[in-house]
Amino acid sequence: MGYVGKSVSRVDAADKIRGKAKYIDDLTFPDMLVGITIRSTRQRARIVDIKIPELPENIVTFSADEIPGDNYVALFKEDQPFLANGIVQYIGEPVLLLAGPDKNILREVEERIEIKYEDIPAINTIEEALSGKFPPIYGDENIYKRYGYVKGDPDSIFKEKGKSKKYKIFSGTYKTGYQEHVYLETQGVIAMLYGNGVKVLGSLQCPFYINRALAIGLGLKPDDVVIEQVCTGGAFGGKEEFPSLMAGHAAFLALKTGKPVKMIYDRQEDLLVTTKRHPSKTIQRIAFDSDNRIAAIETDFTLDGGAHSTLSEVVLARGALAATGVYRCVNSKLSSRAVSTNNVPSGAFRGFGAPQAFFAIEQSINHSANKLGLNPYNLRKINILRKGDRTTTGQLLSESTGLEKVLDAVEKAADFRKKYESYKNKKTDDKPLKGIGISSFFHGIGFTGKGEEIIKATAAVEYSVKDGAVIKISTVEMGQGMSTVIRQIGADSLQLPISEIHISAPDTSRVPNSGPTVASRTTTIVGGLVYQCCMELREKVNAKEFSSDFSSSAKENLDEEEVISSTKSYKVPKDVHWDNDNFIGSAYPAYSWAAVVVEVEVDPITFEVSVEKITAANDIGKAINPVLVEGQIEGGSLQGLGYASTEVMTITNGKINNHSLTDYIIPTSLDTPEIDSIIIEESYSRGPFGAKGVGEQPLVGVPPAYVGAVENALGVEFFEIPLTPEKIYLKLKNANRRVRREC
Amino acid sequence: MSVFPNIFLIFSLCGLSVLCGKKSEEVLKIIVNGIEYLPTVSPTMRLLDYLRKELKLTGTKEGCGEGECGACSVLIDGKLVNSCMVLLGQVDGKEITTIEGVNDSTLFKAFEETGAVQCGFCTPGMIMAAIALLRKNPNPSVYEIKEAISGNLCRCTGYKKIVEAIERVKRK
Repeated sequence: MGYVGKSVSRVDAADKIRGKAKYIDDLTFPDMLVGITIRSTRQRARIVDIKIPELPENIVTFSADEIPGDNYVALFKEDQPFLANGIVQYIGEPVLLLAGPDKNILREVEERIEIKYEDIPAINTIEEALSGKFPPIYGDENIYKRYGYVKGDPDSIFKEKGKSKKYKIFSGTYKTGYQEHVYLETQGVIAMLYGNGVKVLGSLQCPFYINRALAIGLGLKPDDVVIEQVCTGGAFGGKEEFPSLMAGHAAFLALKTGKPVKMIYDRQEDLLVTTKRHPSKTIQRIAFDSDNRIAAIETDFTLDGGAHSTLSEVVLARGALAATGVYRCVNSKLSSRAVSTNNVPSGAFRGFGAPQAFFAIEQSINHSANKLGLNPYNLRKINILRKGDRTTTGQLLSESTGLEKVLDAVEKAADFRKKYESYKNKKTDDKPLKGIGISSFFHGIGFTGKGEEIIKATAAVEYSVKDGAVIKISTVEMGQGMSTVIRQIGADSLQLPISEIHISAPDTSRVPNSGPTVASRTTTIVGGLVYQCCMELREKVNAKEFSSDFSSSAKENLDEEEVISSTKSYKVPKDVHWDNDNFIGSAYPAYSWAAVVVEVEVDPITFEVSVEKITAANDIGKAINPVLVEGQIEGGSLQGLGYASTEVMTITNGKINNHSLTDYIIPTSLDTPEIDSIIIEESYSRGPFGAKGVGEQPLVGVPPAYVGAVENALGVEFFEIPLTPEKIYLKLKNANRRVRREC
Repeated sequence: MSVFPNIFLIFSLCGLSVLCGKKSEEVLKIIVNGIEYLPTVSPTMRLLDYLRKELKLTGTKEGCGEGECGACSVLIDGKLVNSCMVLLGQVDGKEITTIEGVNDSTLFKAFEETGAVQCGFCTPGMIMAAIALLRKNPNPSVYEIKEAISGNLCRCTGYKKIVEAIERVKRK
């Protein structure tokens, strides 16, 4: 046991540092062509006519009616076409493809292609989507998915209002905006003929999603569609479902031309047409009893899914399950929905519905604390879930529940209570205006509900004395450190040097389907399978006990080149039950828990907010590699801060207004506060070496802590992110507060 | 957020007027990582494309193509420049250093050990920014380090470990 818990250097760092790592745009193949996408310029319209000018011989077009298989990108539903089929639903929807040797010439050809449209009234907003005044985009009701429940008797508590003083009831409407991933490497794929079908290389998270989507779109057997992930320059959910669409485009062109086809989006195209975090609107009521305990929570949660369903239903589920936050609450009512609009499709993004829902519940708690005259830390301490409690869906938290520890850790490290009170009670002309905010939250590990049961993730480990161990999984390295962490797990499970542990390239023809690289499931679920495989290998060489030496037992029992292998598929633990229709039971096998404190200074003249410090504590069971965990916390915190403050992306009549990194502002090094990461390890018995996940969580709670800090500095309430200086100014102006002082 | 891109844009525009004065039959000469090249492609090709496509030096990355992200950072006569904002004709007679021309094992080791690398797409640009800084200022403060890499976006790390890596190799 030598690697788990140690900050082993990343196995992929050396090549990346020296510029030797090959990303998709660094690869070329003989005779390779370039592909581009001709897109809709209309928000919602029927395509009346497409006029293609006479083209040089070496330029090829591809239209919807040439698609060899079914024209939909398979995921949950069948509503998203590879190429618009007579109707376009958003600006940027793919209509036609072009391939040729030179991208600049293709762009010139694009100028000469005429597409005639007949407009249909477009749906712009959540309100319009639900108004019933427009022809629906999806289904009869224009809703991709609904979830709802009633637990206990919330109605009777909310009816009490005005009649008795038994309960104090507070309400608010909370809104969150788009967020764009801005992975530094834009989307890209290369498709080519291969065997009886195609091979696609790309920057992607989920090789088997693409395998399935392309088999359907190309009308091929899944085995004839080979997907291989190459070095990926960041993803954050943005390369979960989107690459299926793009891989389809490149594959169509490769099949038609017989040549390899490369498609790489430039930054503008990537910002305009790829999926983004769902904008949200949450109406929430919360009732407290006389002991300041939460008596009931009522939540109405809506996501703007955009023009196609993509992953909206699972994003909605994760948000819906976060509606009551990390609090004990037996009386709760939820109604939630993801709606269709004629905006660019929303999709997966780190946190996946939780950042939206936690913004609402954590701001509800922050605002309630203020109205109840309590410190927000104290109000949380009264209400948080502890070991032995049940969640809103009735799940018993029987172990690994480090919520109170993380909350106490950030309070202590940041001296939260004292600072909060002193900033709150400061004289108004104190300069600069300091503020501090707090939030507490969780991340459910793995897929929601029955997800893991459906996907049945499979991993395999092979071993020979000559070559060491080879781990076979479809899980990808996208910067998060998977390839190092999984090796550490393998090395300690087999007690071999890490140099003898290898990971097979994520190529669908060579590895089993260990599921997509999402949902912070890799370390716990896939790592857990790798651990089980290694245990079986130990048995095979009669070295079952950790006290016996695997390497020497293997040498005794195996010939030099003899290969032994073990394959394991995920089984949902027998005590984990989930009723997805009624939201009853264990939504996730385990939860990681977190709390964060954000400290700010607000300029009293410009209302520019400068963030001084973020203190983040995360209970992740076991940090397999502490430096990599810190990297997730630091990077996730900064992404959360951008989401809360500078990352403004607006849309006008379906057209995104921020289409360059000049006007979509992600934080730079100079915007980065001090970040203090605290790791808490409340071991999870079913995780490998006790580990839970960490990837998504650090982003989730930063926005409410940030906004809470600004509120603490200024003494007003805010309900919307991103919170920009303009919005602060307007709020203070409307509150008749003095907004300028004499200089 | 960064002021650098605009400066480079102006630099590029100034360069264009110089370009116009150059006759097309005149031969360009540039030195990349110590090797002399006589490009036969158009002098209006972006330096980034020349490096990546003609010389196959793919360590220099394109992240935005508009001088905002710094993934394409190279040194031109020792100065840190976004190679997507520079045309080949503007670097006639100049010396270019790309990540492939860097062999600073101390800095590499510091990036590796501190956890300064995640997806790695910004990393070569970060290394170039760090080298430009350390050559000019061998003993920078944390603020000076942050300022020096403020033209290089990273979406993974939160910058903290990159700053730590550069701090670790402060030249005494």
